[in-house]
Amino acid sequence: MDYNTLLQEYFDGELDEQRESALFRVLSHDTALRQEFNTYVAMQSAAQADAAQTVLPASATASVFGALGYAISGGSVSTGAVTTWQRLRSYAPYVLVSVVSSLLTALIFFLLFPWHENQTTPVAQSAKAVANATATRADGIPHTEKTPVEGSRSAAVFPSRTAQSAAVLAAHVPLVVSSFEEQREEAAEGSMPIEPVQPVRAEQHIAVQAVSSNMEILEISPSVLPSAFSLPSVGLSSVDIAARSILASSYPSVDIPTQTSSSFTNVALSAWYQLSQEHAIGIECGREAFGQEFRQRVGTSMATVRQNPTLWWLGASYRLSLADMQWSDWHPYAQAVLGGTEVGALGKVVLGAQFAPSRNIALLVGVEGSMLAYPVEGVYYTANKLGVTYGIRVQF
Amino acid sequence: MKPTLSASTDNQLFCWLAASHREAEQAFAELYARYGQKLYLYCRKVMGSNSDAHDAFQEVWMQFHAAGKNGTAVQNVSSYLFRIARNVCLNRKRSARTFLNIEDLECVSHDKPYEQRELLSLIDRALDVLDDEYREAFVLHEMHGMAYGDIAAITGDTIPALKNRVWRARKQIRELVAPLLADL
Repeated sequence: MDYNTLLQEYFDGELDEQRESALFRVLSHDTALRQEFNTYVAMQSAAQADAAQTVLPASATASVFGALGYAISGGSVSTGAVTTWQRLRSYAPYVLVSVVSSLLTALIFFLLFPWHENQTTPVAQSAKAVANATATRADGIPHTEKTPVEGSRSAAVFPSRTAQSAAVLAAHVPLVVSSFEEQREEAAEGSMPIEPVQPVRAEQHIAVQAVSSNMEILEISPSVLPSAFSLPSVGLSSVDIAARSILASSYPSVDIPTQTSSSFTNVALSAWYQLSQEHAIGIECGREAFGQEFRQRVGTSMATVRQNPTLWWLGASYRLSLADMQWSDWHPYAQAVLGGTEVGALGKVVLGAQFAPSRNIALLVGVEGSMLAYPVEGVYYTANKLGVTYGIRVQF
Repeated sequence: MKPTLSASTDNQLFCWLAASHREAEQAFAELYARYGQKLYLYCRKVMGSNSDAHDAFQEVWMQFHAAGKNGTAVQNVSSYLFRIARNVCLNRKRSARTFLNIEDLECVSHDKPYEQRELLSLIDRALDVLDDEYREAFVLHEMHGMAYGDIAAITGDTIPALKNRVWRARKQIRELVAPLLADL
């Protein structure tokens, strides 16, 4: 009997019961064969145990996924989110956060800055008082209008800068406003000189306050300033869109290539609704790479995983434009974004300057900081970025 | 409606590598989860060192992904994957003069008993001495637990030839290891 063949078939799992019994009978009295058999058993056990306990290095996984531009999903590679509905569900919490943030922001500002179109305000009363009062011309000679006060009509006869401010104020009072066309008609009928109502600028705001102090009229309530100083181009229907590019460094710094085949990378698009000249809310979305470093269980060991996935993000935005601090056509602005990506929540802050050569187009440049918070096996990690952003904003 | 990834077959996942980026990413991740560890073990044992195994391992997945992206028709995905691994490893071994680096023979965990660690170390060193075809057959059959039919689909050899190689590999390893086993 060829015992080598029996041994081979035994370790290949191909020995039938009868031949196996014959093999063990021989092994029971053949010491050399038994030693050979035991060696093979030890080798097979060690080899199988080694195979079962071999740990796939996290560095190997990271290099493979990084070279392909794929993200290593935190905690599990099998997300199961293949269907469209499952994919949408995974984004639902971040969309909900964005929508709620937008609504809360709008509510807060509507509460702080109430928009009352037809309410008689202290400004209206002040404007009427100004219109009735005697104004001082630039040359210091008191000037008194001849016609009874009708708001805009009296405003039409104040040619000085101070008086013009009062005219603007009066022109925006609902109860006494008459259109410029009406003024022109009246002027055509009579000899009343008219001055077109000029858009209010910051210096005129100051001028109005000067008028107020000179005339000792009622104090202008700041809460109604937006109503009194609303610009024709900024109203409830004002919408603009913006596109900007982001160049930033990640912290932690992850030197692994990311997927760059798509042209839409490190770019953000936003749509804005202007509540006033200073305040705007909107929605912004973009796509950029985030350097991640976290600890994850791989097999029986804990491994440090480093990756650089390119992620889509979406969030609610708020922008504060400091028009009062304008220099030439530049003025600073601040922007905050709160939203999320497919792996976690995201927050962004931008501090920048806006150059507006015309009313409809503005160029943006600034510094942006962002933080992505993502969970891996129940532990939260952050990916931070700091860099510059530049772009363009177009107002309809 | 597509099935979940874990319920998908290897062929379905391989076909999705040619789909959109998102679907390809998820399909690749699932295939990697199924075969990554086995493939790394194969590369590690065949190449003989961690660093060479790491490079070969990455190249294998790159070629595999490219084949899926190009819509290559494959009947058995696992066999195809290991065929790629075999070709990559053998080509790398032929083109490079490899020296046995003692420091690279770190293949055991300190969680295992001392005797088992020593035996594994001996087996690994013996594997390095074997011919490539014997080593490959031994690793696939003894360590991966692959059936001879699956191994034949990878190597292209007949089953009797593979059986003969595995047995010869066992005997050679035993001859190298047996004198030292007595000391354990």
